[in-house]
Amino acid sequence: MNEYVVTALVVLGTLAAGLVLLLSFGITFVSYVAVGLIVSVLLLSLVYTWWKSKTDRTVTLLKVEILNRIKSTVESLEENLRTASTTVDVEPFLKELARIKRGLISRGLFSRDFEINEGKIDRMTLTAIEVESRKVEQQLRSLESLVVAGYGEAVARRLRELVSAAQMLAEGGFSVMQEYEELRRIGSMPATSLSELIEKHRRAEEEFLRLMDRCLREAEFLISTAEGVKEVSHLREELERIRKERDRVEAVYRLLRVRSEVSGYLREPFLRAREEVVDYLDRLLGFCREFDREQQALKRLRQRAAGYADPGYLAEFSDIREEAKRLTLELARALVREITALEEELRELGRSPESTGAGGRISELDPRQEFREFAKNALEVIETLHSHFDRRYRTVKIARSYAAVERIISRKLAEKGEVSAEELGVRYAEEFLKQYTREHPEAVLEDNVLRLRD
Amino acid sequence: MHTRWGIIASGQGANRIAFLYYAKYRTPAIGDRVLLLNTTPADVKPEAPLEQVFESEPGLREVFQEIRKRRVCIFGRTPSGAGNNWILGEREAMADYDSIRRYIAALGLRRNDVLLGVTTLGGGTGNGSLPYIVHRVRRDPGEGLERINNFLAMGILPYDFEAPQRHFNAVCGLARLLRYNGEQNAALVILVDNSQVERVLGIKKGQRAERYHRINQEVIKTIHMMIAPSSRGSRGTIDIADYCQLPGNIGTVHFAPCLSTGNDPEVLSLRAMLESASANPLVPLETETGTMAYIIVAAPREKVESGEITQEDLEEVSREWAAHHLAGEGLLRYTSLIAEPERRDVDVLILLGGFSLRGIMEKSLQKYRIFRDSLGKGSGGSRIELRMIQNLEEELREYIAITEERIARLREGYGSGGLEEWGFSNTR
Ligand SMILES: Nc1nc2c(ncn2[C@@H]2O[C@H](COP(=O)(O)OP(=O)(O)O)[C@@H](O)[C@H]2O)c(=O)[nH]1
Repeated sequence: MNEYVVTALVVLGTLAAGLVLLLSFGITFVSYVAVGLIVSVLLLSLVYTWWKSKTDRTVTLLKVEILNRIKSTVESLEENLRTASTTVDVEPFLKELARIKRGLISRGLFSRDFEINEGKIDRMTLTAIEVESRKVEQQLRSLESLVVAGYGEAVARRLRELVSAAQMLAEGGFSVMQEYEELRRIGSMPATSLSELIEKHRRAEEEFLRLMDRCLREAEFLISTAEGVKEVSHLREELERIRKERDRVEAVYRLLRVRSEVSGYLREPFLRAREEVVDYLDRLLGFCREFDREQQALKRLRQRAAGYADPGYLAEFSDIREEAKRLTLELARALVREITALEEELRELGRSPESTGAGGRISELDPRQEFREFAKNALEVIETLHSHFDRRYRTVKIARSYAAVERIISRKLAEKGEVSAEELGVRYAEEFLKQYTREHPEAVLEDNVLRLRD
Repeated sequence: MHTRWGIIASGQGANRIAFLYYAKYRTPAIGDRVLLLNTTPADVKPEAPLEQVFESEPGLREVFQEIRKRRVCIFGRTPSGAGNNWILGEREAMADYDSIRRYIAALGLRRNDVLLGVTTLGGGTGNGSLPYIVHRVRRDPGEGLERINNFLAMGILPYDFEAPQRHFNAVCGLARLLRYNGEQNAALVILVDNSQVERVLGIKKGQRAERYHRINQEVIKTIHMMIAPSSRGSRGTIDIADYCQLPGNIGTVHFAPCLSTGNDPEVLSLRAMLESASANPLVPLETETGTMAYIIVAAPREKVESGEITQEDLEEVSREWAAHHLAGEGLLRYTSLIAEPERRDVDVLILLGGFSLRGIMEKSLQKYRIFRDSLGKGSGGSRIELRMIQNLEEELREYIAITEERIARLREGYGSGGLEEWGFSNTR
């Protein structure tokens, strides 16, 4: 009401002011003022309309944003529900979601195909839309938590299933310990929201497939290994069938059966291969007491070879055999090197050892030879080299200690006229006594007892 | 706390030995406690006697600079040094004892630490001064210096072929190291004979300086082995107190090193190593007259840790060895096993004690007589007086008598240990 009064008062005031002006200044002046006034009012109203339309647009933008948020929440929940639908029954939740959507459409916020209804929302205030959005978000949240409860349980169940399947495979001899551990790790990951749960589930399934692929490859490899031993085409076919169902836990049992069958075929050749290599390494180890580095390497290889218990590792032995050949060559080279050094030392000590031609014997070792043949050959070569080495080693040791032992012998001879090998208390006693007689013609050696010549 | 050692070397030969030891084996037990005494004329460089050592190996001259300031003491007033006259050497030391004492005090040794005095016995300076210094430090050290009871002496006997005066000096020096003014002097007297070392090493010819160098290397090995039980790694039971006290109580304090180094433990058993060492005495002697033995074995640490060489084995082997070789079955015996890292062979030192001095006297006595009989009857100044000589002879004779008697007693054996004397009947 007041507005009309004010307006009437303003109009009356203006007319009064016009009348006063007319009476005091005349018509010309008044018409100037009137025209000026009209023009400025026109200008002002122009500016005002421009300003007003601008604020209206900001509000519209805000409304659209809120509605977009609702839209994307609804849609992602819908999508998540669809994803989860492979695992749990999501029908009631989808229905509930449809109801929420219908509500939004009927309130005119969205069109029938769930697009924002721009024409209609202009007529709604921002506040009204905000209230509506909060309400819908609340509804969606409680809907999600309902879904999480059911779906979370299902995911946990599935993970337990996968982990125990993986464990069976690992324990059944497949080398998938790493994948198994990874699965367990994924299983213990915390997941509270629906999308986290979905992610966890996805990764677990993915890891399990990786693990299965690995097992399949391994089984395939075992089957190929067994090919020469036994007819295995039925196992190959079975493997193909398993491959098609590899995401199913039942496939695990079948895979294990394949493995155990093929292992059975491999057992004997495996045991033979292992025994052969271990036996060879053991004999080789007898010749490298003085060669620490080579000894360590051979011991490690022996340990590796002897450590394989599952026939599935049969294929490893071709690698081990090659390594054994390589180490044999290394030992042979070390022996030759030492023999040369000892010969050098003997020359320095004033003795000239007869040549052994040791270096040439290495060329008799041909790693391209089949293992059995190589081993037979190698043991012979190494044995000869080692006995050369041993003899020289001993000669050098004797030469180096001779002065000390000579003193003891002379002393004992002077004391009681004879010395026996035992009472000397030295290694290589007989050699020392022999050398003594060579350098002291007054002494004779009989039955390991040294006496002064009468 | 490990025992700390110091070395005092008097005279040219001794300076060479002690310096070489310092340069080669600076073990924690000795640190830089090496004191070189000499009576060189004042304007001559103190390192003159060491020149031949410097030449033996590069870098030694620099090592000398480390100790030159604090550890070299030139004593005496006669510009010409002691010459070959030990009386002069002794007089100079007496007259200048104060400055010698200050240098010894600067070594910073305490009452229970050990001093090793080194001298050649054929010369004048060391031979004259060391017995006096030992006597003072053990009985009346003077202001600022604690009495150091564990003062051992090492004397180097002259070559067989050296002039009569050298052998005269040696006999006098030996007598004075053993006894001084009618009392026991050095706690232990360790003897090394130049000719014997060369026999053992098989040295037959060569320049004098080079020959000394080879002998000195054996001597410093001996010193090193003696000190070794005081260092870390020792598993033994040789304590310095044992080294020093017992012989004095018994009355025979002379010892000879028997050395066998570089033994291959894979070839020689411990027993053989002991045999080899005892066949290697650095003094002419008969092992069978020895009455005491300190046995020190330095072995590779890994052999000790792995139990291949143990203190127990060593003791057992020592027992057998001593029972077989020494007078009275060598009941007086200590053994010490030292485990050393970065070592592959085994060194053995047997300090054989109480043996008959016959071997030593035999080689020197004739020349001693010749020189003694040439002494004039005059007196005063630095002349050697017959009266003094007679005293020394008396002391030495007495000492030899004790030694021989002990050997004889031990050889006879103690039978039942004299049970009857205690009133037990002879029948069981
Ligand atoms: N082992 C050894 N004996 C030495 C050495 N120098 C001198 N001698 C011996 O010591 C005696 C001379 O004593 P020296 O030390 O020169 O006299 P000093 O300086 O008067 O004590 C002689 O018997 C030499 O054979 C040396 O470096 N080593």
